[in-house]
Amino acid sequence: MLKTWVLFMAEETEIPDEELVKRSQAGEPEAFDDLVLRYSPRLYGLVYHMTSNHEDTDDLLQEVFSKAFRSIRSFRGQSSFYTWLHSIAVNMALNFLKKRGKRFSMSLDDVDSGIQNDPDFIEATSTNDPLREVGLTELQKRLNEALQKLSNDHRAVVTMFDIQGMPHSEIAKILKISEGTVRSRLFYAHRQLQNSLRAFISHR
Amino acid sequence: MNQNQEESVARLLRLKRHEQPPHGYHEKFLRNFHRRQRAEALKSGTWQSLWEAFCGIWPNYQVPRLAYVASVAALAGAGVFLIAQPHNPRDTAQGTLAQWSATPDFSLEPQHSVSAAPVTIGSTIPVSSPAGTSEHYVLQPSPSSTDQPLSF
Repeated sequence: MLKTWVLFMAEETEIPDEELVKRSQAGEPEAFDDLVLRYSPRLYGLVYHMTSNHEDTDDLLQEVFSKAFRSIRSFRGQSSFYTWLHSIAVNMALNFLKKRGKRFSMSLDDVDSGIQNDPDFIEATSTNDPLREVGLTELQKRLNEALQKLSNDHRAVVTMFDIQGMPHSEIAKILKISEGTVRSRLFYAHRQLQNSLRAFISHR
Repeated sequence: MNQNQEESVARLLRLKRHEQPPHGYHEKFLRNFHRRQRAEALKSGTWQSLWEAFCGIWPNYQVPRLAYVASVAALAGAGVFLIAQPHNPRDTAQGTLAQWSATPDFSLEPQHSVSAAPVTIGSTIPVSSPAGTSEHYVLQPSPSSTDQPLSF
C-alpha cells in the first residue's frame, strides 16, 4: 500500500513530458537531460531485447537520443512524446538489425537477483522440471536464442507486448500498423516461440 | 496452442525483464551522451543542421505515404506530357529557325551599298574602292584620343 502511494506521489510531482519538451524546444538542454534520464531505462530494454547485445544497445541508444535531440524542434505534439521517441528507437533498431543480418554474437546483461522472488519464476520453476534443472544463465541464453530466431518485426512486437507490457494500441501507433496486424504478429511469434521453448513450457 | 501453453510462453518472456544493465549505467549513459553531443557539435556544420531540421519537418505533417508517391507520379506525368506534346512551329524556337531558313529576308552575300552615313571617329582615311562600290573607311590603328590631347 505504502509502495503504491509513494509511486503515486512520484508520478504526481513529476514534471510532465510536454513541459520538458517545451523547455527543450526553447533551448534548455537540462530539460532534455531529464527526458533522457526518464526514458533511457525503458528504451534500453526495448533495444536490448531486440538486439540481445549490450554494446549494440548502448551505441543505438546514443544515436536514438541524439536524433531525438536534433529533431526536438520539429516535434509538434501530434502524438505523445513517448510514442514519438519509441518510434525513433524502434525504427533505428529495425534498420540496424537489417544491416547486422544473422551473424552476430550475443552479449547479455546479468539477470538481477530479484528474479528469484518473481512470481512468474516461482510459478515456472514449481511446475516445470526442465526449468528447475537448467541454471539461470542457460535459461537466459535459450530465451534470447528463441527470440533471435523470430523475424525482426515479430521480435519488435513481442518485446513491446510481452516484455515491456505495452498495450496493442500503443504498439500499433509506434509501428504505424493496425492493431489487427499487431495481434496477428503476436500470434505467429508466440507459436514460433512455443516450438523453440518446448522444453520449458508446461504441457498440462 | 492452448491457454496454458500461451501463458507459459508469456511467463518465460516476462522473465527477460530481469536482464538489467550494470548498476549506474543510465547516469554514465547521460555523461556519454553529453560527450557525444559536444563531439557532434564540433564536427557537424550549419548546413547539416539545416538539412536535418528540414527533413524533420515532413513526418510531422502526417501526409500519407501514398500522397508522396502520387505527387511524384503527377510531376513525372506532367514532364512526359510537356515533352511529348505536338509542336506549333510558330511558337517554338525550332519552328522560328525553320521558317527563317526557308524564307530568308536578308542575304548573306556581301553588301556594297551602305545606307547610313559613315561615322567619323578621329581621323579616317578614305580607301579607294573598285568601281561600282561605295567607298568605305578604315580606322587607324592608334586611338584618335592620342592625336588631340586635351588642353585646358
